[in-house]
Amino acid sequence: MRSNQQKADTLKNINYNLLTLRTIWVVVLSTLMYSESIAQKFTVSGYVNDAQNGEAIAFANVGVAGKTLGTTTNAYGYFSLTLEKGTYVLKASFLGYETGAVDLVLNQNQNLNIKLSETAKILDEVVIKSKADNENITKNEMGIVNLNVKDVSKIPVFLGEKDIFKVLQLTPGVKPTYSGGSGFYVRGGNLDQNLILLDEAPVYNPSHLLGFFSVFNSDALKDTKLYKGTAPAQFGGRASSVLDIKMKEGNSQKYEAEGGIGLLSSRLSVQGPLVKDKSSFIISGRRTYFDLLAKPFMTQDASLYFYDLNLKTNYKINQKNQVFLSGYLGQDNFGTEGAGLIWGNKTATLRWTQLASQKLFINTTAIFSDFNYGINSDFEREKFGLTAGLRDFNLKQDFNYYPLPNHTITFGWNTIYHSLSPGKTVSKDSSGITSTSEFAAKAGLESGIYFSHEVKLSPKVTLMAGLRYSMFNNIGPADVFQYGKDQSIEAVRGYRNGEFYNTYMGAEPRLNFDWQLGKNSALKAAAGRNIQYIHQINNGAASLPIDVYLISSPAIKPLISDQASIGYFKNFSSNKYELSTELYYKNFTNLPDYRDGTQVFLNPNLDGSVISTQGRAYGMEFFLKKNVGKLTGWASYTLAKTERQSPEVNQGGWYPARQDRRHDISLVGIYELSPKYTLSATWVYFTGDAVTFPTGKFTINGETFYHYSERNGYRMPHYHRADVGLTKKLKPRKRQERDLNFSIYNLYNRKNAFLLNLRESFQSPGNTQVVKTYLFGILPSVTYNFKF
Amino acid sequence: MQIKKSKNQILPFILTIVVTLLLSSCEKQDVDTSSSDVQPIKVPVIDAVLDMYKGTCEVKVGETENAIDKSPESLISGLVITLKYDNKTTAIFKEVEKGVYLSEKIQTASGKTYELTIKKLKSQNYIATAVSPELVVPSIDNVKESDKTKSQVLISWQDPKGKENYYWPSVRTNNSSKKETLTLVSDSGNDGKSLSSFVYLETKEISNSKVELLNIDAFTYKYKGQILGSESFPKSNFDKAVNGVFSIINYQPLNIK
Repeated sequence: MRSNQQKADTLKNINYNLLTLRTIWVVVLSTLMYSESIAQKFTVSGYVNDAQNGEAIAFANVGVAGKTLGTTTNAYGYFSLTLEKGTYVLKASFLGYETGAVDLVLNQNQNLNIKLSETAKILDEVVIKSKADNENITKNEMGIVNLNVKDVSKIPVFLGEKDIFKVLQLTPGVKPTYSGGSGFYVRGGNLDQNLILLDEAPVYNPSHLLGFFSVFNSDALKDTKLYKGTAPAQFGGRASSVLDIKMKEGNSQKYEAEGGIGLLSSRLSVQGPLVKDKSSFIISGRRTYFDLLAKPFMTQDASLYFYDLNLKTNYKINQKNQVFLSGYLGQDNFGTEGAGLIWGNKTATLRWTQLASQKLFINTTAIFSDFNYGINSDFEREKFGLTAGLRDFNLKQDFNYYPLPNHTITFGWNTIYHSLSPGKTVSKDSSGITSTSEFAAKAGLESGIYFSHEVKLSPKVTLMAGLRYSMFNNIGPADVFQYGKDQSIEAVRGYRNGEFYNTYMGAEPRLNFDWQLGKNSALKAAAGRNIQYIHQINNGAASLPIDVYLISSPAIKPLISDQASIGYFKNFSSNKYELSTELYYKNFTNLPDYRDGTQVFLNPNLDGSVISTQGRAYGMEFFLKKNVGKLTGWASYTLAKTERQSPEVNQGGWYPARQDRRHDISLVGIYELSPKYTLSATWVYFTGDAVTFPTGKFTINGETFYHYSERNGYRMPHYHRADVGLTKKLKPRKRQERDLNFSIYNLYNRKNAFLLNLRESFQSPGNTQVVKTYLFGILPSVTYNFKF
Repeated sequence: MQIKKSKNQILPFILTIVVTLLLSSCEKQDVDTSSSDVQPIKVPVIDAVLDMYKGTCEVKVGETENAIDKSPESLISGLVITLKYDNKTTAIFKEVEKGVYLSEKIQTASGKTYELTIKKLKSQNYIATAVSPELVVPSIDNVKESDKTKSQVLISWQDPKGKENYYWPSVRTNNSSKKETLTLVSDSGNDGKSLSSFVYLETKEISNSKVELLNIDAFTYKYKGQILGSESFPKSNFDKAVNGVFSIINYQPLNIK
């Protein structure tokens, strides 16, 4: 039961929160008034778009030729630049595009949309810049992976499926959960510490086929940006990373279709204008057909497939207002006559962008996200069914304000209603008696306000300071248990429907610093805090859809992560080569873990078995990339350590987290053999995962059991693998571009361990053997891709 | 709710395994455990069962063996063991074979707390307490062959109302000590209702086998669920760290045919 003192503390915190909000608004309004008072300055603003398809280009550089004045387009392609009255040449540039230049006579406020054409169009999907630039030096960004979706297509693919997650795993600090899996760890964080956003909607289980493929169909995607360090203040809710994926908006100029036919699945996307230059759409689908191909050979009914569907449309109401509607629907279905497992995600995003003035861009978004799964079994006349999931309703508003050249202010708010359904079961026993039970649903409200100011202090120094303030409320109805030391329930208190019964809040400062040491080198630093209120309690590395989600509650404190990093960036040979090294240290407080022996699945009192542990991760990342020439690609190396500490594990000492990998190497090469053929290869190596292995065995009642004393005290064997790919560009047919991609996964058939199990030897009873399960030996695939 | 621990927990993993098996293979692996900092330690193993039907208590005491290599069974001789009930010593044990201690003709009753003490094991006394469960007698509803060699036996029973009860349906063949441990049943959510479960056995062994619906104490239920379900060192009801548990079982054997 909460005491009066606790209630008073909560009220005090809320008052403090309101005070902080008021202070932020005073600062914002003061800045607005200050900037408006400056005379003889005019603003040029507009969008930077792709000339071919009209897609907005996010984070493009816009600047004045010959001067250091400039800005960057926001996530929606909008820029605003306030300059003194005069004549200028305005330049816009972005990776993979020809630099655009526009003469500008600025004697009044102006709207100016700039269209950029792709460079080296003849080289199609390999982005080879005709003129390498030094954006990696000049941008105040570190700990970021910018992935051009086009980069994905020439890299060897697994079973013919292009997958952005697999490419992210080849970059430093981002590691796969297991061989062939699409889940990833970022700088020692757990899987649930990645905020994965598709058009701003969180995707809770981004995996198909039990984790072997991501749910993201590359054909429908435009940009992918992974923040593995300090993310901007507008992002919150996860402790380790933000993966911000934007869907294409649809070609506003002409109709086009693209797709592919592979061994595992086929995909098709269609896009085009609904009203030219005013409205466009894209629809993209993918389905596997393993079940259809196998059906003639199967003796019983079985389902084994996944599908996904992406939709997006937009409508330009006028020059100042535009609305976007996007959605995703995906599902996996896997089962036989006796048992089945089905799971899927749904998201919907309704977004309204508004130019309140030339200097103020407003983005208002309503978001829906749903993840659910179901299990059923029909076993020896007994039936069992389970459904569970979680659902989010999110409302947010983001403001981008450009008061002066070299100043960008962003601020906003968001609130998310989380609704968790831990499980509803229906069972029917052999005598025909049906019983149902439902674990109590849980609800919470997660809110945040933020303010961030990026300023170019001098031509060489850029600073971005931000503050996010987040708050989390548990909402009734709920029975809240108070647990004793042995996890027994000591007291219970009931709360009414809609009653707020527990509050957490906290400040999350963010800081980024960029100091250009010369034209081709920079020193960068960043620091920040993230607070996470929703947690996944999982049973292992696999992205199983049955992982259990919990929200912070009186028994589960919010997870706090603090990260500091410093990096040195250097370009060589006229920006042909990029070299970067980053050092990071990350500290986790209140990492939720469950006690040994806890029944995680279908446990209505799981929060009583959750303990708060500590964690730390630190390491050094090296990245060398070749941008230009026939041979492009990169090499990355990560030296890292990830540890956990709990008073209840390993006598309270620090122990390695499962994802603790000391060495991690990725090599990626793409070689343009001729205009027709492109060869690519990747090689990865990493230290084996830390695993718990028995230190002894014993026999009870004639059965052998194993004794575990040290969590994660042993190592899996080292992992390494090479993949190769060859893309042949076929002769264009009418307006149709076609290519064939051949890939070989695991070229030298390395049997990397997926699981290690113990079993009694058949030949020598009493002896125990270690048995390795490995996935995917050498695996060739071929995919036919087309676009017209 | 009737909880079939094994089935509910393992089903999703079975599905996972089926998928991975489609695309995976297994082989024997040599693991270099010497590269680890983990030092194997010997932990006492105590398997103590008070059998209310037989009126016996058998205690097997040993130590953990090496996990992978074959090592001689490390049973411990020469211990003094006592069983108390209502603070009176009710049984004294004698060592019937190396590391195996037995006491017979124990008077038992349901709902009583028993205290088992193992003296001077590694210079320490190990004490555990357990509460004796009710006797619940099942009926055999159906016997049928589930495949060419196995048969399934459907048993059902009436759960006593107003008490937490835990069951371990099992089959004993040729008076062996080995019992099936796959299914544990709790009456949680089904208090006082009719419950049922299957047990399985070799068809050719039906005539030599008996069904035993073991009514077990709460701690044993929890311990067995944990030891079957995770890579953990489950907490025993002994007052010091050991593998194993002091359990009390109550049952009445039933002939299948």
